[in-house]
Amino acid sequence: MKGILFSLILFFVTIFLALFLITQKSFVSFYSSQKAVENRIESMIILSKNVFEDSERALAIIGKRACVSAINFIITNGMPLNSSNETLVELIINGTINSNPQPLMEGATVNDWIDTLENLIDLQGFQAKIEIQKLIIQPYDSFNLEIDYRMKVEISDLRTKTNLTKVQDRKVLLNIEKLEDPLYPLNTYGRIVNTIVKSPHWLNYSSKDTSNLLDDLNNSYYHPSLYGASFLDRLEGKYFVQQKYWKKNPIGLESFVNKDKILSVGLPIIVNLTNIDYLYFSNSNVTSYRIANMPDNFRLDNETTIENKTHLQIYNVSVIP
Amino acid sequence: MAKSIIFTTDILVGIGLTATLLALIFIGKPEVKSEISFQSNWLEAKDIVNILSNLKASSFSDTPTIKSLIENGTLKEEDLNKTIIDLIGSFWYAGNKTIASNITKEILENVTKKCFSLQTENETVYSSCLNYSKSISVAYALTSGYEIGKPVSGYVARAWLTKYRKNTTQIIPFYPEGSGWTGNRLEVTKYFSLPPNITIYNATLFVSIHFGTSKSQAQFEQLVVNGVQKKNDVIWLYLQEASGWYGEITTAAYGYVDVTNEIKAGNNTIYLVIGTPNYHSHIHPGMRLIVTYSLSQEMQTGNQTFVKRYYFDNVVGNTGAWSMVSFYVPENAKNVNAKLHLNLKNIDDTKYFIWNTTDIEIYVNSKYPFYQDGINTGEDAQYYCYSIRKYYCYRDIVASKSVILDFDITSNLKNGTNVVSVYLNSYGDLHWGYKDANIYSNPLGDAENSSYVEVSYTIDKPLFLYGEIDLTKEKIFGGEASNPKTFTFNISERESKIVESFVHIAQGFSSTINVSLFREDLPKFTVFTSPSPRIVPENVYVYPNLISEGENSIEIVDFQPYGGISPTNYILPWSSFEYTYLIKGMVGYGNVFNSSQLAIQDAIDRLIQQIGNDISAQDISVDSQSVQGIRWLWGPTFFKILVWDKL
Repeated sequence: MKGILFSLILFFVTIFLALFLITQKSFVSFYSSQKAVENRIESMIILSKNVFEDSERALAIIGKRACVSAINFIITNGMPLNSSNETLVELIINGTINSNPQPLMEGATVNDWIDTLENLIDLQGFQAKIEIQKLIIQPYDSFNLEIDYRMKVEISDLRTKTNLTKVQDRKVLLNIEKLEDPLYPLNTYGRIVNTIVKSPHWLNYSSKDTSNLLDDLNNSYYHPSLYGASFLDRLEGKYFVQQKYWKKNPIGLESFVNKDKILSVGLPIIVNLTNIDYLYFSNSNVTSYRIANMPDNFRLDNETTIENKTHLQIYNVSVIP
Repeated sequence: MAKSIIFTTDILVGIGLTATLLALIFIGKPEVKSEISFQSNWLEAKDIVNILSNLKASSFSDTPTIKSLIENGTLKEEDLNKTIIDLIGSFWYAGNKTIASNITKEILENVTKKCFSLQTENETVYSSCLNYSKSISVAYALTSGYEIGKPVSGYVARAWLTKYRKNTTQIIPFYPEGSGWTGNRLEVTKYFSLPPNITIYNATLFVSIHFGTSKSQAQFEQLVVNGVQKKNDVIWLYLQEASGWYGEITTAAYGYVDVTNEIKAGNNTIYLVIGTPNYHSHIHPGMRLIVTYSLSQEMQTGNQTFVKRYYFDNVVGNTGAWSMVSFYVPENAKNVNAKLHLNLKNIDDTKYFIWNTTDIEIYVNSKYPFYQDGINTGEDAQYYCYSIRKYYCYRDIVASKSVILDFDITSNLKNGTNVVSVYLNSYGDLHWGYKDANIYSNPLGDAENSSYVEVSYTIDKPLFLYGEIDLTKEKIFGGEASNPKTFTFNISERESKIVESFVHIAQGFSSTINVSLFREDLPKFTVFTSPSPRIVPENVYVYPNLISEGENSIEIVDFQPYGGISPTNYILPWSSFEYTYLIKGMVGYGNVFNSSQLAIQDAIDRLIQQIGNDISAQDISVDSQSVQGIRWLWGPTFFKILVWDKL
C-alpha cells in the first residue's frame, strides 16, 4: 500500500515537474517568438536608421558628382546655368540638365540609390519605400554648399505584419574645394582653368613680407568674400552674390586674377583693373591701387569685403602712392 | 512473486519518471541558455555597428595602424572625419585589405571580448576567432560607395584643343559677269586671299563661260593663274551651242583645270579673257575655285558682330560691263546694314538728241532698277536709238566718264540670298558703247577704292563657341545634266551641326532659277527665286536649320519668266552643296580613374576619337584638367558584424 502511495507521490511529483518544465519551455518558446518579433522590429529600426545615415553619405557622393557635371556642362557649352541650385537638384534627382542626361551622373542619382536600396532591403526579407520629399541646395559658407532634404522611409515586414514609417529632415554639407571655378573659363573663352583651393595664408598677410600674398596671386587661391560671387552664382556666370543666395554669414568667394597667366594664353589684360576676380571680370569701375612689393600689373581696390574691412585692409598691403 | 512484480513495476515507473525528468531538463535548459547567449551577442553586435557607423576615425587616432597612417601622410584631416566603417570600407575596397583588417582588429578587439567577424559582400575583413559557434548574432551597417573590385574614388579629366591643324575646303566664287554687246573682249580679274599658313592639297578651278561663235571658233584667250597660263589645260566637260534671233552661234562651256601647283597661300590672282565677235561674252553660274587645304589654328570663339565685304571682280568689258554679286544675310541677323560702293571707270556717256540716256543701271533683289542715270530703262532702251540696224542701236557717245557711287541698300535687303547687279553700257540685247567699261576692284592692292557690297549685322549667339571647330566640305551633285535637277545627299550625325550652307549652281544657259529644299519630314521649301531673268547667282544661301541629319534633297529648276520649264537650260552635274559644320574640339569629364594620368590619357583619347580624321592628330596641342576625389555611388552594400561566444 505504502509502495503504491509512494509510487503515486513520485508519479505526481514527476507529472508536476514535467508540467513545470513544459510550461517553462512553452514560456521560453513564447518569449523566443516574442523576442523574434522584437528582433525583426529592432532590425527594421536599425535598417531605417541605416538608410537615413547612408542617405547623407550617398547625397555627399551624388552632390559632388552633380557639381562636377554642372561645371562640365558650362565649360563644354560655354554657357552658364540659368538657375544653378535648381539645376543641381535636377542633376541629383534625375541626373539630367534640362532633361538631357549627363554622363557623370549615370547610375549615380538619388533615384538610382533609392532603387538599389529598396532591392537590397527586399533581399533581407523586408519591403521598403524610400522617398525624397524635398531637396534644396543653398550656400552654407564660402567653401561649402548645404543640401537640405526631407526623406520618408517606410519599411514593412510581411512575416511579422509590422511596418515602420519615419520622416526626417537631414542636411549634408558639400565641400566645393578642388572643383573648377566656372567663372574663369566663361570669361577667358575657356582658356584659363582655376581650381577652387582655399588660401593657406588667409588672414596671414604682411605689408612688409608679401610672400603670402604673392603665393595667393600665383596660385589664384580663394578667399571668403562678402560680395564676390558664391559658387552657385559662379555657375550662373554672375560676378556678385545674388539676392536669392544671400545669407547673413559670408558665402562669396574671391581670388586674384593672374594677369600674366591671361597674357600667356593670348588674351588681353586690363592692367589698371583690380586683380580681385569678380571685379576684374565684371570690368567694375572701381579705383585700383598699385601695391608695394607686388608685381607691376597687380592692383587692389579698396572695396569692402568681410569683417568690415576693405581689400587693402584685409590683405594688409601698402599702396604705392 | 507479486511483491517482486510490484517492486519491479515500481522500479520501472521510477526509472521512467526519472528518465522523463532528465529528458525534460536536458531539452529545456540549453534552449534557455542559447537564447540568453544569443540576446547578449545580438546586443554586442548592435553596439559594434553603432561604433562603426557613428564614431569618427579621429576617435581612434591612437591605434597603431591609424597612427602610422597619419604619420606617413596617408590619412589626411578630411579622412579623420570619416566614420570607422567608411575608413575601413575605403581601404578594403581600394585593395588595401591588410590595413582595413588591422584597423578592424585594433578597434574592435578593445570593444568586445567575444568572437566577432566583420564581413562585406561575402568577404571577411577580419575575424577574431577561427571557429564559429552554432549560435551567431548578426547586425548590419549599410553604406554606399563601395563595391568589390571598384575604385572608391578617383579622378575625372577633360581635354580640349588649344591649337590644331584642320583639313577644310574653301570655295571662291566667280560671279556671273560679262561684257556689253559685241563685246570683243571680256577681261575678268579675280583677286583673293587665302590664309597664310596653309598647306594646299588640291585646287581645282571650274570654268563656266559663254563665249565664241561656235565650239570650233571659241575665243578662249587667256586663263592665267598667278602668272601661269592655264587655258590649254582646261578639260572641257560640257559644251552647248545656242543660236539666237540674231543668227549667231555661241557656246556655253563648262570645264575644269587643276591649279594645285599655281594657287598658293596668301594673295592670288586669276585673270580670264574671253570674247565673241558680235554677241556678249560672260561668265555663267558655276565658275568657282575649290581649294582644299590644311590650316593651323588656335581655338577661338565665333563673332556675334559681322562686317563682311563682298568685292566685285575687276570686270573690263569692251563696250560694256556687268557683274552680279551675291551675298547672304542669315535668318537670325539683327541690326542689318548694307552699303554699296562702286568705282566705275571708262563709261560711255550717251545721249539721244538732247536727252541724257541711261548708261549705269543697278538692281538690288528686284527686276526694277535701284538706280539708273539718264532717262530710260533697259526694257525701253530701243526707243532711245537713232536707228536699229540688225541688232545694233546707236546713240551719241558724248563723253567718257568715271564715277564713284555710294548707296545705302539696307532697305532693299532680305534674309537669305541677296543679289546686286551692276550694268555699265549694257542694254539688254542692244549695244551702245565704245570704251572699255570697268567695274573696278582690286581688294588686295587697293581695297578702299574697289567696288564692293559691305554688309554688317549682329546675331544673338556666336556662330560657334570656344572649343568648336568649323569645317567646310562640298558635295558635287553628279548625275546627268537636266532641268529640273534634284540632288539627294546624306548628312551624318557628326556633320549635323551645320552653321552655313550654300548651293553652287552650275549652268550652261540660264533664265530664271528656283532653288528648293525638301526632306521626308519637310515639305518643299523654296530658298531662292530669281527676281528677274538672268539673275542666277553663283551661290544660293541655304538656311542651315533646313538641313538635318539623314537624307536631304535639293531641287533646282530653271523656268521661263512667263511660266514653263526652260527646255535647254540644264542644271549641270557639277553643281554642288557647300556646308560648314562644327565639331567639338573639347571633351568633358569622362569616367573616374584611379590616377590623374589615366584620367587625362582617357580624355585625350576621347578627344582624338571625337575630332576624327579632319583634324591632324599629330599637330594637336592639348590642355587638360583633372578633378580628384570623385567618388562612385557603388552599392549600397551591407557590412555585416557577426558576434558569437568563444568555444
